[in-house]
Amino acid sequence: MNWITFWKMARKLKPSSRPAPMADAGGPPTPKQIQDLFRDIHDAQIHELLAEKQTVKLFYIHSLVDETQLQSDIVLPILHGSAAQTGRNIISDEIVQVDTLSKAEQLILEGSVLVFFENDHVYAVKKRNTLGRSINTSEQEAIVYGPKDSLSEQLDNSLTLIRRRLPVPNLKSKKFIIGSFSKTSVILLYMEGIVNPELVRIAESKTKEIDFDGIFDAAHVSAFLEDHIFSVFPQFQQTDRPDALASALLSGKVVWLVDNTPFAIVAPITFFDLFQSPEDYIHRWMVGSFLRGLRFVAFAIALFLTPVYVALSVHHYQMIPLAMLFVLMESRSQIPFTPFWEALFMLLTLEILKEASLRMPSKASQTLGIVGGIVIGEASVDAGIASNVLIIIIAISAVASFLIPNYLMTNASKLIQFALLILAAWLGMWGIGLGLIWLCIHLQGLTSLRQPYLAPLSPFFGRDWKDTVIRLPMTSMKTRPAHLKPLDRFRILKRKI
Amino acid sequence: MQPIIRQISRAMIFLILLMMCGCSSFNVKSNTVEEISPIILLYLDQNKNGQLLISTIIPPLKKEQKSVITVSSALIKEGRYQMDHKYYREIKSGQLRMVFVSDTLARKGLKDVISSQLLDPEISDRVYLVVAEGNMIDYLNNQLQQKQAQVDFYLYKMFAHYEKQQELTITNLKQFMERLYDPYSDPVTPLFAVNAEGFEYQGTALFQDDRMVGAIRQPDDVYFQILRHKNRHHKSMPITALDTTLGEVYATRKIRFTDSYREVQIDVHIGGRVEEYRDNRDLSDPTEAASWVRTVERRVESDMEQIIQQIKSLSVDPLSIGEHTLGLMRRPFTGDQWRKHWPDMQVNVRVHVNVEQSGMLKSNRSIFAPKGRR
Repeated sequence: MNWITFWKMARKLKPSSRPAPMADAGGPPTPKQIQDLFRDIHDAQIHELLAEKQTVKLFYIHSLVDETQLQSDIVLPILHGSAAQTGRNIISDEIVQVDTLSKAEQLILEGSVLVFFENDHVYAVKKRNTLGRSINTSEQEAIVYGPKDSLSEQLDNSLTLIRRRLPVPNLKSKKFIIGSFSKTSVILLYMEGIVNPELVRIAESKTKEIDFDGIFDAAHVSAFLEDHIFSVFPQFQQTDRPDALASALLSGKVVWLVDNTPFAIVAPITFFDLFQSPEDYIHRWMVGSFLRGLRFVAFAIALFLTPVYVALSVHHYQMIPLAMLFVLMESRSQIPFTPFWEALFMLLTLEILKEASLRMPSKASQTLGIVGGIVIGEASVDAGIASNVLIIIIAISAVASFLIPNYLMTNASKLIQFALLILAAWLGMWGIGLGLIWLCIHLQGLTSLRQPYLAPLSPFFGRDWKDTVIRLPMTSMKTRPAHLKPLDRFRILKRKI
Repeated sequence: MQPIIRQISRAMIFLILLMMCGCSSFNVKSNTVEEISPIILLYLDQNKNGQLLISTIIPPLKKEQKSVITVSSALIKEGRYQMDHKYYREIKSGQLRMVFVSDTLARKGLKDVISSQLLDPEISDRVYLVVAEGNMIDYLNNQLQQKQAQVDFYLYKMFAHYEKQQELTITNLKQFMERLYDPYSDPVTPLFAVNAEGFEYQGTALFQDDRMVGAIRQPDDVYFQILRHKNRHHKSMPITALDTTLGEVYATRKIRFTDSYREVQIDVHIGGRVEEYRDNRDLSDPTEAASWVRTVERRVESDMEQIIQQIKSLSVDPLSIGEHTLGLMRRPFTGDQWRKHWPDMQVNVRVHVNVEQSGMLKSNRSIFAPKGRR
């Protein structure tokens, strides 16, 4: 069969239909119906147990069920129990009587064992295989002092970590199943009485509207929730730190926990939230404010330093300090490329090295780092591909970009840097100004869960500035962020304000 | 409208609005640093035919063989074009830091020279303006032959340093023009004597309108600096006639007019310590010291009065005394009236010297000796 015949045959084939809801025939499902439903699944198993005076059938999917618990909590009680107590002997926290085929299907796929009794009663006993990672330290948002635990792939574990931090009935959770094939559980968390109900309503409606076959990550969920798809800026914050999530909930934000991913989604966020780290609150407030300010400066350096170098060395030699111009002219005199191509080449090389070191195994990435460092640092200067000054500038801007705590923002800044680089080479400082104005306009138009992205700067909320660019002492943070319009403005019980 | 079309139309409106601001255009000329030759020094002179002689060092800011090029032209910009044709890199003025003018040209007038520099948007207003007496080209050539390739850069660093130190007269184009158009003061520039061997600060060149009419030379320049500024710190103030040098001098100056504006009183307070003394007086004796201080005061007063007499005779006001006639609700003289009035004005200088430390050991009597024997 050549490829043309294969292509023609493939066109005639109907696409496999998505699992449509089962047409319930009425009444409890029979073992045969279940077997038909789960045909061609090698680990779908049916067992017949000969209990006293009756035959009990068990149906389950081997890979989803905890086999040890199945034996101890279901099989043994049925085999050794009396006829009258056969069903009651089963040990489980969650036993549901199943009335319909569709419910049976759902429960089996969630890790339940279907128990068929002769009197046509069918029970689903939850014996889910709890295989998964234990609670580890957050690798993405590691801090020196403070709680070390982080969310894991198990939704229940993640929820536990948050509920332990907020043991109040106000912490509400709503569950959604999204993904027509993946059936991913998503839990929407919020603090009733604090969060603005409008935010919850928007979050709920957006979550319900998600229509996709497979949702495997928090990023997939946030891709469907975001208001602006043509933007490089992350409109949702992803974190695996339960303390950060509890803090966000108390601020009046909503949180999504997604099954099988250790990252939760927080919304609405602002541009300034992306520069905050849990460590800000561990340091003394002055140190925390300094570090936070430093991150904003680093962001500006990461965005503008290389484009400004290109703009100055291509268009505005007048603006370069004389002593620096002397160094720059000497450094650039042997370079065959224009400053733009030189900068672009070096930036791309750096990005390639960074990407490669992320994907490589850790032992190989160390070697890669050394080789890359030598190639970028020394060899390219010796070979006359790049100037010394540019190497320093690229290194400073690369290091500065790592100061941004949000990884998504770090990568977004790279893309903006490239755009500014092109504008700088084309129009000089005027081009950078143009890019900056366009960036401000874009940020001003952005929203996160339909809330302004540049709040509390625009629209202006003066009281929120105590925890934006600087961080004032915790004792002075008596009110919640006003831009989130929380129902309860005050964090303190004794309100003297 | 489709969102993408809306976005594009918004972008176009935004760009059109920005371009209408007139802040720049898309026609930005490339000035890639390695392709151009930004000069930092310009020397202007006049030849016997009345044409301008424009000289500079090329290539500036490069570790290459350097030389001084000179072109003669009727106009400064014309000279710049001629320079471009003489050299393989385009000569740019955006980093120009110093304009040296020969005293011959300075005496004929600098307005045209300075206005052509100020009209060029590339050239900063803060370019140092210096009058050079002697053959500047010989000096530069000599320096280049002596492997002082960065002579232009070093000269710039020297001016930048003394601008911060504020002990010598340092003027830039903007300050010169500001004083030129101020009816109550006259411009000054530093005056340097140059020859093949060296480059030496001589003092302050005095200008009437845009023409150099005289100079305050060393050592009087120190007193001139004290008279020019309200407060000034000097590392040292040599008084050669009295074999004395005062160090760490902090001088304040007050100018007061009598009610009739016929007299002006200049009070100068000089505080400092004796750093060098070669006379025979015993300064550890309070009576002797007080007498010596009065001698110093009289000496400084007479030197300052001489300076004022000199500037009055030249009908120039480089000390900006005229500005002190102006008050919030008061303007006794118009600019022209002041210019006529100033040479005939009675000026009284009163100097008060406060020697904080004489620098002498009091005597050889020990403070540890018994009271009766001290």
